[in-house]
Amino acid sequence: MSQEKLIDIIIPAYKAQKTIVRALSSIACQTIIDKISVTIVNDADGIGYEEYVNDFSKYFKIKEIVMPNNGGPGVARQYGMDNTSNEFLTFMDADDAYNGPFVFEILLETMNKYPKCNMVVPSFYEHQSIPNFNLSIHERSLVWVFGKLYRKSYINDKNIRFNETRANEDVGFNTLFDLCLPGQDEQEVVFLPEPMYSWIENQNSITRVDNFSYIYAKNLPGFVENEIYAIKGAEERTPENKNKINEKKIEVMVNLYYIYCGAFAFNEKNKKGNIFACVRFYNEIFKDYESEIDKEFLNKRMTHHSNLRLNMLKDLMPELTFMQWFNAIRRAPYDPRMQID
Amino acid sequence: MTQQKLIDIIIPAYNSSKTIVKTLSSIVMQSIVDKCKITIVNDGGEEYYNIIEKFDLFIDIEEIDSLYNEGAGAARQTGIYNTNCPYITFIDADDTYESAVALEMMLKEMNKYDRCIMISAGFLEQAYLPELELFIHDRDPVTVFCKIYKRNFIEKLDIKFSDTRTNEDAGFNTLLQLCRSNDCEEEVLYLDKYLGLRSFNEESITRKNGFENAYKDNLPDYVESMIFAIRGAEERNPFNSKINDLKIELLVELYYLYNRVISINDKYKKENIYACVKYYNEIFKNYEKILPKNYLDLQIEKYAAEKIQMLHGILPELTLLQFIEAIRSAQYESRKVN
Repeated sequence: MSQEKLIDIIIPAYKAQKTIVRALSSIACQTIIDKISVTIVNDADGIGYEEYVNDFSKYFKIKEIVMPNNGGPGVARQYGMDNTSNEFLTFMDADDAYNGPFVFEILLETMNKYPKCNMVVPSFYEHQSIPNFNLSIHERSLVWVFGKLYRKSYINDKNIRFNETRANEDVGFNTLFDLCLPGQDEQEVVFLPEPMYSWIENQNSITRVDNFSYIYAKNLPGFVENEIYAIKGAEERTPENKNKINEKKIEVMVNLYYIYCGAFAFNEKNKKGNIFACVRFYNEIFKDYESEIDKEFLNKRMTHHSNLRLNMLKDLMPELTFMQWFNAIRRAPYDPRMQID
Repeated sequence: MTQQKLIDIIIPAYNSSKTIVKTLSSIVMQSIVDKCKITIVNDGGEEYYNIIEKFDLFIDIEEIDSLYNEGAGAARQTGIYNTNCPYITFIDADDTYESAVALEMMLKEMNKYDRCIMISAGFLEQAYLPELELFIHDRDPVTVFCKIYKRNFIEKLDIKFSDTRTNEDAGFNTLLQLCRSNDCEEEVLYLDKYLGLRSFNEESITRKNGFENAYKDNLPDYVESMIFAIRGAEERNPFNSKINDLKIELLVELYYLYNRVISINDKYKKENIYACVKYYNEIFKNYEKILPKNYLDLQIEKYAAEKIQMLHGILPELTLLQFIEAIRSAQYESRKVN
């Protein structure tokens, strides 16, 4: 056990005493367990994980650190990152599990194989039990942070941090991470087709309608906040990545239309907040960029991003077409002092 | 060569002497060429006497004149009226069969089922964009190429081509489908093989992709053909519920087709809009009156979901519902489209 550690696993936990044994057991069975250090970040839940730390410390290196105040999973992960120092880093949620004993061996092997790799992204399972048992596979997903292996030196070098919003902070983190990559080597991010992580349904979470609306429907404003955070952050950190960042602006603008349509069909209640979030993205990010680019080029890129998302409109009858929606967003009055809730 | 013939191969031709040789060659090589009777229907252009003289040595071939001189549909119609084998197939004067057993394979499959009135195989379509690309046509509802029809069904129900310049084949195939009895007693079979090659016509309009290129530039003709097929089916087979299903599906399809046509070339915008308005007024309006609103909404949503990928590459001006509303409230006065 005195061997040098290579990987930090950070587990933000809030009242997760019932499920954390599953998570820790899936770590205990890893073939390279002696290279792993586990940190439970107790998000001030007032109960603690001492019992579990004591039990599992017989098998691997594990510690609990306690947040001074409750801050949500993003703040907890950031706190974990700030208090660990190994070469590689991964996140896990306290009610999930790694799939099988070789996960970390494969992740580490991949990092070693590609010296320019800063992030390994395996596929993962999403598990549902209501109304019926169902497993779906998410491939090449950069929304969530769990089950991926990050290179810490890159994170430190570019100062990649979580935004302090309560939700969608993972989108902000991954997008910022991705936008700051030099983009000179295809192997900066390596995707693995095998599912290596299981995202296990939390019975208390909101009903999931389909594979996208539940993520954003309740939180389109949070999504927008994090995209703004990532784009502005990347512009400060890596102005040389201008083209990549600009392409992201177009992608998000188009994506917002599709998410808005889905969210609207899912729940009309948040309409006002959602519209304001889109108007905010347009004014904070898109407006200046739009004034300096060729209209035809913009149209082409918008069509491209729209093509990729057409299936998101299946079973929806949108009120407006993308162009009508975009023009409405453009014309809408905007006051940055307005609050998003 | 005195053997009993089974299949009429009907070739509508208009000034095709340059290309028809390759078509006839691909017929000569057919394994069941002895059972085929070839009829070139000359649609008022140059004659094929010299060519026929050469091919006459190998195949049973004759040339007749089209009765109407007004396009491929009418020429094929003349062909049907002037031939009498139990099976009918069509090939255009610049297309070829991909395989020496193309016709034999289709016929063999068809003979397994007494009730089969049509068999449809796939075919490939050449295009230079600018380099050669092959598009796959699978279960193509529009063209009559690589399909064999049973004559007694065609004659019994008087299945015809619509009298439009293009899409007349869509009219023919749709009418045939809608004339099947309600419980689909007459079978339509599909063969998952590509047996033909549709050649690239230099003179045809620029093809952006292989998607719906059969009617994307000719929405008015497509609409005329569909009106023809729906009316024809209502006369011949009035209790078929598929006719009403098709009415809703077409209304939705027109939205997607209209957007595709306009995105490629908006020169004929007015004509295309008029065609959609015409379809609504001639076919849909009366049906809509007896249709429960929520049923219509559900059906529209279903067909919209099926066809959503047709918006690939397009940022439409109107949503589907706005489009239908615009068509509904447009002024309409019956006239010929072109």
